[in-house]
Formats: sequence, structure tokens, C-alpha cells
Amino acid sequence: MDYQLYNRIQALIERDKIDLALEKIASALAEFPDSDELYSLQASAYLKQKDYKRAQIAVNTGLGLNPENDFLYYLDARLAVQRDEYKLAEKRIDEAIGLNPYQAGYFGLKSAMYIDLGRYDEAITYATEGLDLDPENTMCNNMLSMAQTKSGRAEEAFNRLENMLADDPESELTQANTGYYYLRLGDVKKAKEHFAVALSIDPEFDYARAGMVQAIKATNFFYRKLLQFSYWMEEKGAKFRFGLFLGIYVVIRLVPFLFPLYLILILWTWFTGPVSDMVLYFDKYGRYLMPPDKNKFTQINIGIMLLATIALITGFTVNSVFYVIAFSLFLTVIPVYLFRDVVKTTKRGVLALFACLFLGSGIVALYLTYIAHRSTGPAEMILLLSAVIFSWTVVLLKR
Amino acid sequence: MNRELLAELEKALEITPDNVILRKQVAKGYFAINDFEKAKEHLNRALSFENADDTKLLLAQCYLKLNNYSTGIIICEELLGHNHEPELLSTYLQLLISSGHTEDAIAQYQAYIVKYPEWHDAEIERQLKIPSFEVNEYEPDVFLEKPDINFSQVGGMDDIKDEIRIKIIEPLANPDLFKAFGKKAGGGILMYGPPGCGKTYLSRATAGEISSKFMAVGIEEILDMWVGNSEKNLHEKFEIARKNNPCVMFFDEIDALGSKRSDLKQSAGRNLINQFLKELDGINEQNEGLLILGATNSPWHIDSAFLRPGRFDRIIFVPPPDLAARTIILQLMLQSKPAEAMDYQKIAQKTDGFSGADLKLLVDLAVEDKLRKSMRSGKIEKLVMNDILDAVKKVRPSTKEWFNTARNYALYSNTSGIYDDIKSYLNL
Ligand SMILES: Nc1ncnc2c1ncn2[C@@H]1O[C@H](COP(=O)(O)OP(=O)(O)O)[C@@H](O)[C@H]1O
Ligand SMILES: [Mg+2]
Repeated sequence: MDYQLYNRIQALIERDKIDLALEKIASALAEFPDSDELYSLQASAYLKQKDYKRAQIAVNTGLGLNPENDFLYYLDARLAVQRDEYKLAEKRIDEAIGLNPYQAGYFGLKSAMYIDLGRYDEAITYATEGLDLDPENTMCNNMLSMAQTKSGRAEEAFNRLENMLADDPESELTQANTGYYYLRLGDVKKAKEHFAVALSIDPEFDYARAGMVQAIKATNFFYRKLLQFSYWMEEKGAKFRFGLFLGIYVVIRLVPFLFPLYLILILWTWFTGPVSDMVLYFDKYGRYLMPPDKNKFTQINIGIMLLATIALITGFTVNSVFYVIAFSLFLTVIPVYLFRDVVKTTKRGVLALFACLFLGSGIVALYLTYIAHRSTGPAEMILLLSAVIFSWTVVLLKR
Repeated sequence: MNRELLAELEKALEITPDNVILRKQVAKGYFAINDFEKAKEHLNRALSFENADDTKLLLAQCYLKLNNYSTGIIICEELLGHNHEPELLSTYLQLLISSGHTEDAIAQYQAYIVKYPEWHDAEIERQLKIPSFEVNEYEPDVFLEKPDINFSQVGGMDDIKDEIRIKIIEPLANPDLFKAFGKKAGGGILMYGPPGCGKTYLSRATAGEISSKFMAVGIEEILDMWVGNSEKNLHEKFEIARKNNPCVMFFDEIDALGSKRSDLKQSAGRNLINQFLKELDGINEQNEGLLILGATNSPWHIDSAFLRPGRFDRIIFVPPPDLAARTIILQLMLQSKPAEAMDYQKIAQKTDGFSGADLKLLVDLAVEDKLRKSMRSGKIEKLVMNDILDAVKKVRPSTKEWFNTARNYALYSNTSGIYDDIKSYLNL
């Protein structure tokens, strides 16, 4: 395939004229049916449209034509990350690097993967390797500062970010990363400023949008503290997190009068997130920052909360069984809130199961009172037990 | 027409093989999708029922496409005995050229331009290397476009029509009046908005409205310049336009001139933008009588230098047609179709958020459906209101996705207020 055609199609993709680009690719494929480069363009175009399925097909076809195309392996790795398949992603990016060890961007992606996995030392290694190839590479620079921040080396990260901002204040990635840096420190005002700049450069940049959402929510004291708490735990790693919860549990068993404190901790960690989402929903600026499907779950939760409040009032005025129902509804809010952000179907299944358990025990309580005319004891037992199991499952679910 | 519909119409033809009108329609359909064998088959059968010139001409064109030149030439020569329509002349000459009889073609061509002074075909002239008479050598086929639509065929868009009138139509009609007020003809208007809402359509209609020259620069030409780093090419286009003053220059998908900032670092694309701005500013008042129209679906990709005050005189948001505009557009689109009188306003009420292109799709769907029914019953059935209302259910307004993106820019990237119009349109 000739260079001119390649450039034209690439120019179209860069300009977001994806439909036209795809059209051109299709007609070029009629002429050069075995051009792996055309398939890599096609995959890039679909990736930009977030059509991951078609992108994957294009990558596979391209690799079938030329198993030595490093860029296709890189795209393959990105698609694997998209599906949360980090093992495969690792293999693919290594293949890309093996074929072409001079692309800083490949190392940037590898570093990003290790950040996602919480393996910050490796992330730092690969980002640095990428920077050896191209000291200006935005991706690698950002991954390095992110890994440094997350592993508690904020000082180094800050210097790097400052230099990068001075160098190129128009990089939405650097601006967003600086935002996250300040968010971590709890400086919400500064964080918002940087996210706002990132969004003004590219308002569709998901990473910056998510950051702005966090920053807006963090204006609220409870959310801010929760965020910092979760950042702190993230720094310590998964084992520490589990140990901490085990420790708290043991302490509560030994010193029962600390139980109310434990309850406050639980309420705080469970409900701050969903409630913040609901508050954000009523703000125009905030609502449209949320992914549309996330807003759907928030709508559901607003409905559930309304019902729960009604149940609470009914419990107060009509029959105390409605307290149980209110409790079960309040609990349902949490799996609904968590549902969207887990990717794996099995994990989603677990969340759905708990939502059903919570709601189910509320319904059983109603049945026992009004139809069977018996005590609601068994329903309350199920509810409490599933709540306790849920509290442990959530800790495990997070990673 | 797509293949599916054609296959269905063919089925109808099996029942009424003597329906020549339909058969010709089917042949044209196959011709349009480049299935010349099928087209040929149907034309031959149509000729067995009715010996019509237009059928024969199309058949000759099929032979041209099928590289069966000698048969095509025989048909044309038979027709030329009594018929001299321009398309036939062009087809005949093309057949001669393609079959290698260039000498004959030149001789015939010279005879035609004497006999039929109105006739002229740039494509043939190009192949025969005959300099065109209307445009001189420096001007390639940039002016050859002669859109046959005008403002009356464009529904709504009154804002922009007014702007175009005041910038070019009126000054040309009343030069003294405008001179008295120190206003010159020409200027620049940039249109942006969701796809399918008439930006390109209106620009073409401008050409029909004004009896001035019209030059369209599309995405392909822009990419050519961009890939080839050719500011010179852009300058030449402007120079040709200036020489042909008064002239309307139309840049479609003008955002393609630039590109996201990060890419510009590596390429010389910046030069192209600077060149465009230079031409737009016009050195030494050269731009008198030159109207520059730009259109884009993605204003956020436009280089910010374009949007600064003083570059374009007006930057206009082209929203989807409102109720009144939809009413007019529907009326315009259904006028030429066999349709009973209907309550256009009522249909317009049911098509909130539809773009002009969506309305066109809607009418096309209804027409195809009716065509099928007419085939079965064997007589022309007129479109009624319910046909259109049924089709409404099949079309999703296509502007939604655009507004999702636009909303993001209006909310989070509106630093200099450039998206204020979108913001107020969306009630944000
Ligand atoms: N205002 C209008 N009046 C009549 N037809 C319209 C109008 N707007 C759009 N259309 C129809 O829709 C088609 C697509 O419009 P187009 O001008 O290409 O949209 P844009 O350039 O804004 O993306 C046109 O060819 C025309 O048939
Ligand atoms: Mg257009």
C-alpha cells in the first residue's frame, strides 16, 4: 500500500472523521486485501469509536497476515487491558516490544498496566525505560509520576509534574495527572483547577472526567476523607487491606463496646460513595461528567432511597416491619452502586446476588407479617447475615 | 436503490413482465450500483416491448461500461440519425475514445461544437486534450460544478440566508448603495452544527442563487493539500477565485485544514492554516467580491485561530430544523412525489430532533414502501399521511450523538464562549 494513502487515512482518523476513514479503508482493502497496515488503521479507527469488538477482529486479521507487526501487538495489548485481561495484555505488549524495542509508547502502556495491577516498582522501571528512548514521551512521563505518587514518593512526582507542565501546559494527560496528584494530597481546589484545564483541552477525556468527578465529590468532607483513606490503603497494598479489616474485626470481638465506632466506619465507607453520586446527579455540571450508564444506576439508587425513606416513615407510623424493609432497601443501594465499576461477569453476578438477597429478605419480612402472620425473625437473620458476609466480600471484590 | 429492493422489484416484474416503466427503473437501479450485465438484460427486454431512445442510450452506456465498444457505437450511430441530446453526444464520443478511435472523436467533436454551440463536455475535452473554451488553462475543473438548486429549495436556515444575501447578493445588485455606506461585497461565514442539517446543501444552493462563479473545496482536496504540505495549492485556488470575482468559495469540512495540536508539532500542517488565514485576511483588499463559506460538523477540531474575531465575519450555529423549518422541508421533499395533500405540520411535530437528512431518509423509506405496494397492485398508489407517519417510527434522529459531544464541549471547554449558542440551544 502506498504511503500517501496511509497518510490520508491516518489524517482522517486523527481528525475524528472515522466513518470516512473506514470507508476509505474498505475500498483500499479491495485493492490491497493482504495489507496488515490497513488492518492496523482499521483497528485504530474502531478503537477510537470504542468499538472494541470490531477492533479486535481487525487486529486478529492483521496479525494473521503479518505476525511481525509490532503495532498490531500493541493494539492487541490495549484491547486486552480494556477487557481487564492483564495476563494476556502483558504477553502482547512484550511481543510488541520484542519486535520493536524502540517505541517509548509501548513501554508507557506496559507501565500503565503495572500501575493498574498495583505493581508500582515495575511500573517505574518500564516508564523509565521508555523515557530513556524518548525523554519527552508524555505517556511515560505521566506513568512515572503516577507510579511515584501511588507508591508514596510524592516529592519526586511533584518535581516531574512541575517540569512537564512548564514544558507543555497543553497536555491534557499531564494536567489530569497533576489534578490527581493534588487530589491525593487533599488539595481539592488545586485538583479542580487542573482537571478543569484538562477538560477544556479535551472534554471527552475519560481520565480527566473521572478525576473531576472525584474532585467535586471531595469538596464534601466525608468523601474527601474516604478518598484519602482509600488512597492510603491503595499505597499499602491488598494484603495490608485484608489484614487491617481482620484486625478491626478481632478488636471488635475482644472489645465489644467499640462496636458503635465500627458501625460508623462501615456506614461511612459504604454510603458516602452512593450518596455523593446522588448529590452530583442533581448538578448539571456534575451529571454530564458521569458516564451515561453510571447515571442510570444512580437513578435506580435515587428511586431505592426514596422507597427506603417512605418505608422508614411507614415503619415509624404504621408497622415496625417496615424498618426491616427500609434497612434492606438501604443495603441494596451498595451493590447497585458498585455494579457498574466492576468488569468481570462473575463479580457482577456476586453483586447481583447480594442485591437479590437484601431485597428478598425485605419481601420475606412482609410476607411473614401480613400473610403468614408470624414473627419476622428469620428474615432479619438472613438480612443481617448477608450484610456481614457482604462486608467481607466487598473487601475481596475490590481486587 | 439497493440490491434488496431491486430483487423485490424483479419479482414484481415476473408477474407483470410488460411493465416497461418499472423495468427501466430497475435497469437504472442496476446501472447505478455498477451491475451492468443485469442492467443490459433488463434494457434489452424493455426494448422488446417498446422502442424508446432513452432505453437505447442507457444500453449504449452499459456497453461502454462493459467494454463492448463496437455494439455501443452502432446503437449511438443509429440514434444520432434523429437525436442530438447532449448525453448521447458525450456517450458516443466516449465510446470512440475508449475504443481507440481518437482521430474520429476529435473530428466529431469539432463538428458538434459548431453544430451545437450550447454543448460542451469537460471530461471529453480533457481526454482529447482540447483546451476548454469557457475556462482558461490555469483553471482546472474547479468551476465546472453547476448546482441546480437555489434558496427556495432549502427549508429554514433564514439566518444564514440573510447573511449571505447581505454579504454578496445585495452588494452585487446595488453596488452604489453599498459603496455609499462603505461596505464591500464579500466576506467570510463559518457554519457549524450537527451533520445532515443543510450546511453543504445551503452552500450549493448559494451557487444557484447567485449568478456568480462557485468553487467547492471538499475534504479530499483539503487532505491532498495537507498530506502534500501544499500551501501553494491553496493560494492558487484563492487566486483563481479572485480572478473570477464575484465568486463564492466553499470549504466543506473545513476543520480538516488543521488537526489536533499534538500532531501539528510533527508536521508542517501549521503552514496550511497560516496560509488560509492569510488568504482570508486578503492582502491589499484583493478579496473584494469574494464570499468564503466554511462548514464543519466538528467545530472543536477547528484551529482556534479560525475562531478569533475578525477572521470570519460571522460564525453561525446551524441547529437541526425547528418545527417551521421541518414543515417546509417535508413539503419541499414531498412536492415532487405522487402524494395526496397532507398535514405537514403534524408530521413535523412528530419529528423533533430530526435533521434534514433524517427527513430525507424518512421520505425515501415511505416512497420505497409505496413503490413496492404499487408494484403489487399494478397502479400508482399515492403517498398518504399514514405512510409518512409509519416511516417516522423507523428513523432515529441522528443528531443526538452529536449533541452528546457538543454538550461536553459547551459545559467543560467553553473558555472563550465559542459554544454559547450550543449551550443556550441545549438549555445548559
Ligand atoms: N434545510 C434543508 N432543506 C432541504 N433539505 C435539507 C435541508 N437540510 C438538509 N437537507 C437534506 O439533507 C441532506 C444532507 O444535508 P447536508 O447539507 O449534506 O448536511 P450537512 O452539510 O449539514 O452535514 C441534503 O442533501 C438535503 O437533501
Ligand atoms: Mg456537509
